[in-house]
Amino acid sequence: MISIKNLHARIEEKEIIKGLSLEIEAGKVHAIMGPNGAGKSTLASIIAGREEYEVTDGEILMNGKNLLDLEPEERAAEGVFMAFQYPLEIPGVPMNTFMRTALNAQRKLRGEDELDSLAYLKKIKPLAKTLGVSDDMLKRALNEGCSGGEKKRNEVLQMAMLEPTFAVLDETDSGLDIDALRVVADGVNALRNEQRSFLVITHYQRLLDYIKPDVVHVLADGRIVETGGPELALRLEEEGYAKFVGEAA
Amino acid sequence: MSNASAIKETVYYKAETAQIFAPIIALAQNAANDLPAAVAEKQKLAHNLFTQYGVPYPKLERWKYSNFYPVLKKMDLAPAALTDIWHGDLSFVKPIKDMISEQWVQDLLCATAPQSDEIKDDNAFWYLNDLQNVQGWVIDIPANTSVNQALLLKTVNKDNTYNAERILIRVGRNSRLVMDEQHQHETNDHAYFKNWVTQIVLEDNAELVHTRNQDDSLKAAYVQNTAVTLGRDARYYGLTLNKGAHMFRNQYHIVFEGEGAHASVRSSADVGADQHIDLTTCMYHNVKSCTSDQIVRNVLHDKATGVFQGKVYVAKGADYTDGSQSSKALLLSPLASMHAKPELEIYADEVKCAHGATCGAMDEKSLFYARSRGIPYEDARAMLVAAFLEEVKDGLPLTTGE
Ligand SMILES: Nc1ncnc2c1ncn2[C@@H]1O[C@H](COP(=O)(O)OP(=O)(O)OP(=O)(O)O)[C@@H](O)[C@H]1O
Ligand SMILES: [Mg+2]
Repeated sequence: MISIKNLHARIEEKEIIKGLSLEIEAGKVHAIMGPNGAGKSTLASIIAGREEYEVTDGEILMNGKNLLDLEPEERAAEGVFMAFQYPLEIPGVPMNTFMRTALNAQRKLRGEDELDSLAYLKKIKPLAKTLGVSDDMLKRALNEGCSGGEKKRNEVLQMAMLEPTFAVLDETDSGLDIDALRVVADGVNALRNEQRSFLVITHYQRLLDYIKPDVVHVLADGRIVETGGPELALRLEEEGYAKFVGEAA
Repeated sequence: MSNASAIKETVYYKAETAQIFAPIIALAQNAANDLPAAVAEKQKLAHNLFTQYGVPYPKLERWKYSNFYPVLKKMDLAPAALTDIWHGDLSFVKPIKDMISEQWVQDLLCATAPQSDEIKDDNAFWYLNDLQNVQGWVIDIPANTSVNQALLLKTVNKDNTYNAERILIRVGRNSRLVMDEQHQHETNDHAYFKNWVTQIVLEDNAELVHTRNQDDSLKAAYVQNTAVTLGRDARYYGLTLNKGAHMFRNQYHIVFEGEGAHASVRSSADVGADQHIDLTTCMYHNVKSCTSDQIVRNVLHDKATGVFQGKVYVAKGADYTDGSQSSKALLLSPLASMHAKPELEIYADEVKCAHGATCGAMDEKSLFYARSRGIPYEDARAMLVAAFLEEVKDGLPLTTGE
């Protein structure tokens, strides 16, 4: 269970998150929608541990621990995962090397045995296949020369490999064509279970047809301004954010 | 600098040179006997030039970043013995003294130091090496021969030694050699000076893969001159991986004599403290249709300094030349610095010469990306640094030599 309480954060004197509270129970999928610049990616980055943002107040509790006290790699080992809105290219580091290093680093931090390369390949091959990530891409430098859609599939593949307990997906649907969207959504749905929680940030109701959320929030001007069921997403599609932007301002 | 103070500086440095190298010069002069007349003559000339010019001083354009005086002054230099060479089949390796009757060997020993046509004070370290130019090895690979096991050349210097090695390499027509130099040290307290000259002749369609693992003592000074001439379709791949040395000047003079030849000069450095790594090159594209690339990747910690002075010269008529240069530095401390100076001198019309130089800090976003996947900070940083340094190996035929 994840509990974000009264979170305030800023960057360079500019307050972006302004008292945000949110509770996600184990096994649930929450969606966040909201206008551009509302602070959605900022929230995701803060959860993952990006140091650029200064948290001035509040806490993010996961299984009783305050994530804000942990380094990004420690959060990852605790089970936090963020799929980046703009995944990075890492020249010179093949996806396979990166992924195996990450997987084993987490296992080590948790006191588990490391996977040898055979066990690693056995794990990634079928997952890569279902997500449509080619062998060639696994051998190439991470995300280098990949299309926007390929990078997003790569993010979901990393998530499937790392098996987080709390996954934040930041606009993982943008840049995907219809078929890829289905593949990626299937990948996410396959990971849904009683223990795992998801926070899905999106601009499009369409994604939520595939990944059915339990709860939908509207984030505007650094706060959660509305919370409802899946029907809220449909309403937003029709009405837009004008009402909330007006309220927040 | 005013003219008067420039002259004063020159006089000062010449006096310093005389003092630092007096014992070395005296010893070299006594050793010279039984040599062919041309070689003896050359040593005499080199002696005159070296005492006349002295060690290069910072006022010289190509030496302004790398001043060896303060380092050399602190040493108390005595000559050191020859370096070791290992290979399963040593029939093609011989001491220079045993090969001195061969004309091509004499020609190399008597060659004018490159850099330019005229004799210049830029070349003083080469003259200094000339004083003992019969100390070293000849590596002679006959035509149509592939030496598949890498030739290993290992050198470990002791405290307060001066090592002037001369290496002459000839790779015959259609032949291939892989040579791996290991420059090692016993402890980082050992102060020594290595002044090497390596001359390489690649005949038509010959290939040399030449790697140098430079892990000298952190108190060592090292000047390396490597001169390469390439025949038609010949290929030279030079890779230096720098880890050690207090001060290293790695200087290449590459001359294309036959069409269709290729040369790569690659250098990486992962250095800190007050280390100073200087790569200075000149690619002389004298004939048509040759290609060259120069890739430099430096990771600089603490107060380390990197220097890259890369020159591409394209003679009139040397059309279809492709000469590229790329220098990137990662500065991991506010006191680290990098000086990159690509230089182009082009007299031909149809030429492709790309060059780029960048210098910056570690990419925080990439670091965060790796950490967010669970890779601890130090490991993430090491992974990114290693990937950055690996770029110098791009496209080199390194695998067969192992
Ligand atoms: N590194 C930064 N430096 C300065 N301002 C920033 C930085 N990162 C975000 N901001 C600002 O914070 C605000 C929120 O940005 P954020 O990326 O979180 O929005 P978002 O809700 O994800 O928008 P979008 O829907 O366009 O992805 C914006 O006004 C943005 O300009
Ligand atoms: Mg965003």
